[in-house]
Amino acid sequence: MAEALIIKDVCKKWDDFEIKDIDIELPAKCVVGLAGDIGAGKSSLVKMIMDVIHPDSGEISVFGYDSVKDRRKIRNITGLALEEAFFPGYMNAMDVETTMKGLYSEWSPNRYSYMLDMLGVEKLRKIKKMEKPERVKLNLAVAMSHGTKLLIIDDILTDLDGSSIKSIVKALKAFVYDDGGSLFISSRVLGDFEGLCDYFAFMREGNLEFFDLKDNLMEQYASIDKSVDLDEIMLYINKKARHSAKGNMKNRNLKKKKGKK
Amino acid sequence: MTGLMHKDYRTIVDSGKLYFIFIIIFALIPGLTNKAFAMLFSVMIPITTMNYDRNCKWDSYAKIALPQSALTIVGSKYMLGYSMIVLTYVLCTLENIFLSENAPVVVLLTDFVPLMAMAAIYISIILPIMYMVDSNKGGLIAIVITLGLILIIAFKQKAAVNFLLSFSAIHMNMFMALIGTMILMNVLSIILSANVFKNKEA
Repeated sequence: MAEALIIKDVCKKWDDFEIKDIDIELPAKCVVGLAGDIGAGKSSLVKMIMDVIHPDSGEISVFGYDSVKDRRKIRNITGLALEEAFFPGYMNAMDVETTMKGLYSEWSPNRYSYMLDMLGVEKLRKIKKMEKPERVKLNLAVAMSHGTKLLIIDDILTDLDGSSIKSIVKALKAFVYDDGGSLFISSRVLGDFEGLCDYFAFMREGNLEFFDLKDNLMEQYASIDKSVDLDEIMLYINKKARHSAKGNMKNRNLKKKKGKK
Repeated sequence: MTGLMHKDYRTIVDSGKLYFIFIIIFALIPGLTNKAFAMLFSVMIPITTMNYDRNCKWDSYAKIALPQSALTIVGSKYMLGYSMIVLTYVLCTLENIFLSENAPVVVLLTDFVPLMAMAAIYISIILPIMYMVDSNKGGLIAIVITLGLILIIAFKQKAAVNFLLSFSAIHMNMFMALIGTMILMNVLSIILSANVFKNKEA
């Protein structure tokens, strides 16, 4: 079976920001957690996977389909769950289904209904009357119901209560373990998603600081602190990188001063 | 495209009822200028749905997640506009057949078809503006221009009627030129709108 996601040597430069040398390979039926602060480049990477932004160099493929040439095929098998609700407020979950049925060739009404029940989304409540957690769950149900093989979730955990997070994690587990789906989680903090991840990646200022099996990472850092979790490791790597940057600045300033003398 | 059009029709039912009422009222009142008003209100329908999409960020979602191409997404708005124009034409025709004094079918075809063509030309101008200009500004521009046209027609009725009738099928060259212009402008307009939509940041 082809890899669920291959991101190979991807680079993209804007006026004020650059994403450099991103290499991520996610086997089918696996889960990768991509962590990083706001502005690290996570959402831009997601947009490149969905062919909204074209990388300057490198390749991206989903289950063997090229992100540019096979855009339509990729979008049919890739579900995208975002934090915002994009459906008109007057709609309810059933109206959303009627719209989505006409947009996806493999829309599954049974799957959608099942996901709504599992996530606890009211089918007849209008979206404008839904609180944020319910809207996020609706987005997730839609993203998992159109023959989805790769599910990408981008920063959906913000401002969610514990029980909402629990139901989301339960739904994601069903998607991965029961349905054999692959999962790409992009989040500032992985938190409750940590248990799902097979791979862990960390982005900082456009650079991929780390990508490896979670077990390798835990082994490496558990020698320092056995109770450490992924978010703490990410904080540590972040701190280390900041200190390293400060050290480089100090050295540069010292060299400048010496040069002036 | 069916999914996109379903969403738009639901938006009309929720937010565009007022324009529908105006379309029905003006389509059923005798007089060519009233038919012109009805056509202008029918063009407001796709503009209203575009504003609604922008407010709930549906455009961003469609661009980043849906398998449909920019051409299909944009094309659905044009199809909505054309279907509203045809619906208005049907209402106008029914009014002429059942409520007005016997109007020959030929007159219906020659008077109302140019009106439909002009409404379609107006769509081809206004929708790319909506795509190029951000958020509420585009909607405001469209409303101002449409209201402006309505006022011009209202205050210069005779001139407006003469202008419309100059494109009647009685003057075959002008009629064919109008139809040709309508087709060309709409094709170019759809291509332009699709490119603007595709290149705008999601």
